[in-house]
Amino acid sequence: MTMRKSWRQGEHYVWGTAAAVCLTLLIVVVLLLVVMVNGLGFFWPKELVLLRLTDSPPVMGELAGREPGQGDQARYGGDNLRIKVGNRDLYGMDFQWVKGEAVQQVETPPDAVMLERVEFGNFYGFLKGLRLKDIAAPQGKDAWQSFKLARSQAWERKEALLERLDDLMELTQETEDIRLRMARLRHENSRAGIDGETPAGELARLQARSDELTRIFEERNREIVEQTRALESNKAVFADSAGNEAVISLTEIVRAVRPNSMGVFAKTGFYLSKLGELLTGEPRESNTEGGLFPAIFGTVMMVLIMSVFSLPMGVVAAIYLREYAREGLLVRMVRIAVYNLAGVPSIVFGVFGLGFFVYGVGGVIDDVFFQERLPTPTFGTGGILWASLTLALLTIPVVVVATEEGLSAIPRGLREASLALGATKFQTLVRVVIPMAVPGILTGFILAMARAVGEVAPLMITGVVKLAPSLPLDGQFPFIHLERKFMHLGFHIFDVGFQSPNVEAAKPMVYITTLLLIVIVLVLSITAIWLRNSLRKKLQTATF
Amino acid sequence: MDQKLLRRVRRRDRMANWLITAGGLFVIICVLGILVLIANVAVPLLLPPAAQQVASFPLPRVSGEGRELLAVGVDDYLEVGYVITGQGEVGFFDLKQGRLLDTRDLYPPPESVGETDRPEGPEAARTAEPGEPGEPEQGSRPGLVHADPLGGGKYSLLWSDGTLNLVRIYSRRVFDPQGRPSMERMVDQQASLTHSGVEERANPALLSLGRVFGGEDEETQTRVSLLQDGKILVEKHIRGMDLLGEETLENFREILETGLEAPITALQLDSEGNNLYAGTEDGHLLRWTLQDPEDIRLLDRLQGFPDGRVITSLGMLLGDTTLLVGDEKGGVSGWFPVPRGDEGMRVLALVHRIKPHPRPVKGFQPAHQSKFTASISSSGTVHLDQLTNEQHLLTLTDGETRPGGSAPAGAGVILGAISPRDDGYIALTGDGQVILWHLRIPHPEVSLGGYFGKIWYENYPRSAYVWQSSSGTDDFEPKFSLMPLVFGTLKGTFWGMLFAAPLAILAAMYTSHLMQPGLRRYIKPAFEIMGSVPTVVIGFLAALWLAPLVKASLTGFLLIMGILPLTVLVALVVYGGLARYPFFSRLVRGHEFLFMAPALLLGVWLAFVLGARLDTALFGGELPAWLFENLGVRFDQRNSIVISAALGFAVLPIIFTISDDALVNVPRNLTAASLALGASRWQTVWRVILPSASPGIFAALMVGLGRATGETMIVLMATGNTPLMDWSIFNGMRTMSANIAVEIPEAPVDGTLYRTLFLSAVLLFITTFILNTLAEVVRMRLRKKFGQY
Repeated sequence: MTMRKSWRQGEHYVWGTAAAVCLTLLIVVVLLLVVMVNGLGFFWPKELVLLRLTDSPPVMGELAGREPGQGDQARYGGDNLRIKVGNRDLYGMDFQWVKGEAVQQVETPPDAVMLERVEFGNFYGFLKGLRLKDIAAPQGKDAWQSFKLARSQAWERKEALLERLDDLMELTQETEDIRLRMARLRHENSRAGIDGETPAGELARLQARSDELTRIFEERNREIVEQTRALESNKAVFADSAGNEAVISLTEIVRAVRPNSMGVFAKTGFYLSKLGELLTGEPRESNTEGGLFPAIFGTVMMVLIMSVFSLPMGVVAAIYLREYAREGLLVRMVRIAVYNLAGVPSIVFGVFGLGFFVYGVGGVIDDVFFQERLPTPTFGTGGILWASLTLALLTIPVVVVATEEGLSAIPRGLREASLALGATKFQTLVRVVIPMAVPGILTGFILAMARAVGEVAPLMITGVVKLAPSLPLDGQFPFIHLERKFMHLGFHIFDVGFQSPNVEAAKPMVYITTLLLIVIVLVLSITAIWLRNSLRKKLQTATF
Repeated sequence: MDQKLLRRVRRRDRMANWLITAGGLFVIICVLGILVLIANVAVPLLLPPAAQQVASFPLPRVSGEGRELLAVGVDDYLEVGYVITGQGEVGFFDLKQGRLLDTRDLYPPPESVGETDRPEGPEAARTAEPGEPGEPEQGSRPGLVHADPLGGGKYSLLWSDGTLNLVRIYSRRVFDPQGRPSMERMVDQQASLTHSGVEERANPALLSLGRVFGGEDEETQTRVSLLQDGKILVEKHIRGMDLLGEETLENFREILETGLEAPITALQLDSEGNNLYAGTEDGHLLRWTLQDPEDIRLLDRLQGFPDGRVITSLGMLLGDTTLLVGDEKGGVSGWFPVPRGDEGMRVLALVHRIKPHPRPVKGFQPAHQSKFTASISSSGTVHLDQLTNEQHLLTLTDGETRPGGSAPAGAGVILGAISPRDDGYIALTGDGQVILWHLRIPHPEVSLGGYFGKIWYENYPRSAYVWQSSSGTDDFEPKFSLMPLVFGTLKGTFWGMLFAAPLAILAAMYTSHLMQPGLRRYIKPAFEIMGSVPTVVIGFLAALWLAPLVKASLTGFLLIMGILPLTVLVALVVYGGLARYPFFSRLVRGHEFLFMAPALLLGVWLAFVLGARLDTALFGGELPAWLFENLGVRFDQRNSIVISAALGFAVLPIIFTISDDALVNVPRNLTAASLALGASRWQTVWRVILPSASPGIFAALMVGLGRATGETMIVLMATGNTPLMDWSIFNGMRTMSANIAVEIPEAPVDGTLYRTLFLSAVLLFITTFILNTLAEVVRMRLRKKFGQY
């Protein structure tokens, strides 16, 4: 084929459209790569570099970036280096720029220590010694070994103390219950009128119990605080790259490693332990470190509650529209309307949820059942139930569309055969139609979950918070607390990435959360797509 | 067959029929009820204000007939009304029964008269003695000359002996030992401001206004008197603490002259005593600043009305910025100092004109919690007007006929007051009738005109579209123009669609008919997966990854648009040359997009390298800085380029999927016919397939438009959320959806902001619903058409 001919036939246009496909796919790949590189790499312990500078004390930390600088012959090609120096408590900021031309010598000292702390981010420096109070100095081979042993001992004790603190929290819960019961009694009294029968004895008894609980609480609390303080006085001494001493309590140190002398296996172990913490740990440092467990839990629970409402309602609506309603103008209009709801902005659903569920229904529930707690709202404020219901409304159209598609793909002949055999409509539905439509229903269900997992805007105004004090599911009666606020992976991204005081330091956490969210959503979507395709194939082979 | 079983089966079927129908209808009604419920919240915004006359009775006889009545008022609960008489007494009456409750003397107690240096603290002067009319001594006591309402039941009272005092009249709810509530009527003497000089004996004050401002440590008392000879006497007493904790007192006095022939006809002082306004008989308006007592200056002296009409009354709107001017022709206008010319220069200017009265304006009664005002004209009618958006709210007339005949002469409102909570208006008519109206003006600050038109706000140099919903202070003027938000939405949608639409449609054309059919199985899900990426992720990457990148190499990003087509062209030439080898030709056909990747990557790389070169060579390192210095173009990091890419990424998959469906479903025989006639594959796609599927592509664009309009998280994160109206591609915007997300958590339930946000949700809902319905109808017809083949 000659060039001119191909030009005349419009082959170049074909190439143009091909470029559009290619560009789009490239953008998708770049997006996934950016998230993966930034998200996956963060936990891998990085080498600590010690830069000896000509004009100032040495700087140690992780190399975080570089940009072209003025000099040209010195180390690093004269690039300016961005070093994550950590030690926020000492320097005030996590990152520092170093001029490439000022770098005299670069070292990677094998005994450089990276500490992950409960507060103030990472510490980079060198171990100087131990200052132990009530922990027996372990017989380690060297200072590092004994430090590690002492640290793990301190943490064992800290964990035991935390457990006791948890037990103590149950006491406070009981006190709170008593307070509410008293409030309810008082409320009932005032409603019955002052002359009404006063269970004063009951009130006094409750008050006495409450006082006793408070006394026990204070006693135990004091004990725990004392022990914690004693434990905290076990410290280790470190020095930063410039030789400044820092005395850090052992219980402050979450992890301590020497990245420059770690092998691949040690690094993998470190990586896995960080990953484990991510999935099961609590967030620290205003969500920028630690784990994501409450957010994952909240997301999953919200999606489950949502499914309880959205799946049956969507399926019933679809069956009605497809199998029961008589096809006509009205049904067509209703169908268009329901389909269109899938395209209505999610924030509109959020507004509806806020106005109707939270302030409307929630307000009524508070008035009727929780009057003694007013004006503090119980259900009249955002909570996991309202968020789930809002998302259920949002995802019903998704379920309806997919279910209808599944139902309409079933050949008429099968229904007719069933009816001809004397089955009723309901029997046909239950025995023939629904089993065949299961993949369609499942597809809709999974797509709905994928949408719900990724949706943030409506949640922001119906019950998601940056840090929920307790999970919506716990050991306290009645175990499922539908009125509680919850955390959510998507909102976590928004909150940590945009509303945290130290966005730079929070970025890696956001990338990891993003990665997790994308993985969940993609797994769900791919499953749905696969199911749908397999359904199509099956029905095609069944009919032809 | 078993009859029982059959019956059971039938019964079940019937039940299922019922249940499913009921359930299905319920779900559908629920889902459709959303719009109704949202709209229901927004509707009160647009309801007209209403007034209802709830009481009308003859004013009970307050002791001491023969003197005129100076003021009327009502308490917080609309239960107790009061009048202030020329005798210097306040008479309280029950508004339900029209019965006099008691009378109190307002003259300052002797110990505080003449002691300018020791103003009384706000403490109750007398306690209540319900049911027992007070017995103030009559006789030699001076009478009351003038009562100036300051709002909140406070009055500045001028007595015939020249004494001026501030009182607060109010009632509060008390409970007796049996727990029964009753209203206790209170009169607080707050301050007393006497003249310090003597010469006023010969030149007495016609009118005096007093203001007290300050707290525990520092207090400024201001007294402004209009003297008989037409001059104005200003006196200030500033009480403070010196470094040693000793109380200090500074006294200032100054005589002001207008420098005009015409006498002053109206005088007004703001609530802090800092600005003094005067209106004259020939329509002049004057403004002095009294803020610094050692530097009292005339700021404005201007002819307010070219026809020289008499200015009959002045008032201050809530917030002390807008001056209300009423004139002889019945005109009501709002004035405030407007920034003009040089920095800091402000000139009093006519800003708002509202519906005039038929007769001269006699007085203003500004609202206490909102920026509307009542005005009374000498025809006896009351107008309620919102100044900000120049909206006439209500006209109150004494339309009731008296028992026993029609309205007598002298009817018509002569005195009135808005209740402290802006929910009632009490009036006194010329023939001694008391009338109480309940007002229902829940959202005076908004109107359709205000939402979509330009409005001149206080302290602004001109009228503008502004969205600024809240601020720290109570007397803030909320600015609810939806235009910046609508504009932002349109701008974001436009840039997003500009990115997504061409890419999506071209890609759909390729994947539907030009690509190797086997590959479709993988490419289409790839686009669907792209569509399932949560928008919060896209927004995050756009704002924290893409935005800094765009800022760092803006030139490169701008160059991409030119260089990419170029490299594609180069690739075409190269592959065109290679195409003469049949092996290559076969390999490429249907896989063109894979071969395009190197060209595109090369193009992007080239654009960035060239961009960096250009930056150093032409723009002194960075384009954004250069743009600002040389062209004055402000560059935001979160700008429309970033939005274009992010929003485009979000809507691309949906446009692609729907277009692709439409293109694929074009009946095979059309394609086959075209190819059989010898058309090339592109000619077939372009001339046959695209025209038949164009309604579907239109539908795809509509759905995409709907998605882009309502997208929230991306714009919330990547636009910067500044409600500006600027088409510049280097600036951000604020969209309606992001606005809702930002503001609704802080909006008080059922307040104006809350309802306004619901209104914008309704707008979003309707817009997207129309777009989607359009798309769906088009698609249905298309499906039917294709079904024929």
